[in-house]
Amino acid sequence: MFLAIVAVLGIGLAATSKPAYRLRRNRAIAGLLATGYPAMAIGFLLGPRAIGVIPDEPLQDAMPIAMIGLGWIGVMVGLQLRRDLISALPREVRRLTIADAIASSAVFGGLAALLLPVWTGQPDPATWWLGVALIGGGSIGWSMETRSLRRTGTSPAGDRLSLAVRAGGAVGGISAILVFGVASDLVVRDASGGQGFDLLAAAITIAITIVLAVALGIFGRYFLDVAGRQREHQLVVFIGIVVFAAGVATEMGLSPLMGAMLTGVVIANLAGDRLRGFERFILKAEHTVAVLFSVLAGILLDERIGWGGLAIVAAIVLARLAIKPALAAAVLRSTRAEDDRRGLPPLPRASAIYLGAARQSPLIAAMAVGLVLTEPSIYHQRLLAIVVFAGMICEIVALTGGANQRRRMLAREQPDPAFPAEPNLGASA
Amino acid sequence: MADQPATPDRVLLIMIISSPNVLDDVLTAMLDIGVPGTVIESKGIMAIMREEMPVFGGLASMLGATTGSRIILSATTRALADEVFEFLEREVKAKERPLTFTVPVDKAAGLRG
Repeated sequence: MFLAIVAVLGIGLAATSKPAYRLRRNRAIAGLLATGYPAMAIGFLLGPRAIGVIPDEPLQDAMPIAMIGLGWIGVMVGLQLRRDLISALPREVRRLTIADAIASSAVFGGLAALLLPVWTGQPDPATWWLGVALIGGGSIGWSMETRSLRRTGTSPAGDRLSLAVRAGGAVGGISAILVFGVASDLVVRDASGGQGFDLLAAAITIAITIVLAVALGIFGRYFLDVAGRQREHQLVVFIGIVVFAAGVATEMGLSPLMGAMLTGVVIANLAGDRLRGFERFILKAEHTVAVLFSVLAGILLDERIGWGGLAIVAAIVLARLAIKPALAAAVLRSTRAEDDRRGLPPLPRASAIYLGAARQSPLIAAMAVGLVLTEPSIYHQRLLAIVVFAGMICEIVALTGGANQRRRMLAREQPDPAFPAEPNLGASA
Repeated sequence: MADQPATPDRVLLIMIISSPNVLDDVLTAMLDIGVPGTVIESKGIMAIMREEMPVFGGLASMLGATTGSRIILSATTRALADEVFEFLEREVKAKERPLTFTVPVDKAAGLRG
């Protein structure tokens, strides 16, 4: 157990060290690292189904630490839902996030509902519903990193498009957690361990989650005021908020990620300088928590998904590649007339940056890890593997496709419409 | 305006402050001491790295309030700069002290006070 924690922490610290950050100056590597797949690969290699440095049993003992990580991620996502920030979002981004939430829930949720019964061999929807919630909800949004899809140099249109795709991914992540949290609350376990749908219980669960989040946010601000400027006291309160946000939710059978996210939302919208300090603290640890969680995902996944699982992976990948970039381009460019009136640079018809929407958000892996930890089962471990494999393939295709598109445009001397004409950069383009 | 002659007494005081709490205290102290200054919004390299590679907090990492720092520049006398250093040593904990240093000023124009 001790060795397992040391190994995971060691990887997390190494991945966020200065030499590692130097490596990230390469755009392609940065794009890959932003989604956590290399760390997941390391986790899988060290885990019980490969080399076995980290055996299965200690992981259940490490659940409290994993819950802190889930709480951290949830609070981090929730902190973005500030009133002033959301109202400052461009109109096209708001349209895009709504369109994406509806389309993704319908398409990917529908795909999951069709394929999961065949894969699991279970006709009762309650047994595979959590998989539908994960794939349907978790497919909303996308990876927010866009630097790897851009060429060197910037332009007003490119900056605008990059910001729109990034903001769409961020707000999409919030929608993803909400949809997953609400959908997964629809299924409840009865006293005999059976599962069934219960709308009333779901409504009560969601109401309790909201009340807990508000209470924790308000108490959090009070305790931060009591802590004053003592850094040590502040640290205790910071970690306490994160732990309570996820831990209490888990103990009460609520979604830890959603509970933590709602707590983050409450905190972000309460006034107070101490709370801004809390936000900085949470955000500074973003990369370290991301790496730790990615390693954990790699350790927990069960790669034995069979042909049925591979079919689900293929369906997710094809649907993401076919729908997401086209939807992003269509919705973002739908405000052309308004952009002209406002004197904004028009968004390009084609750009490698739209492929960013095809890349899966790292949040779906966090949701899947939370599912494995709160409801341990081989089914959930294999679901985790499915979403990880689908995400990896989408990532590789999007990054490769983006690079090819830029190369073709340079070769034909047709500049990417998002960027001004550039000198021939040769191999470095 | 004609260049003012070089004075060995003049230094450029530079402070890089990442904590909003410390910024408040430093600005108050500078007003008390009588040191003028210019405040520039800035970002550290690690903040830029996090902004370039968002994982979960893509929007929040772009906000200056949550990721940025401030640089204070002040062309002042050595004596006043020393008072600022004394304030930092007396009132600000070592771990929270901003990166502060002075560089000599050879020539200047537009100095007031």
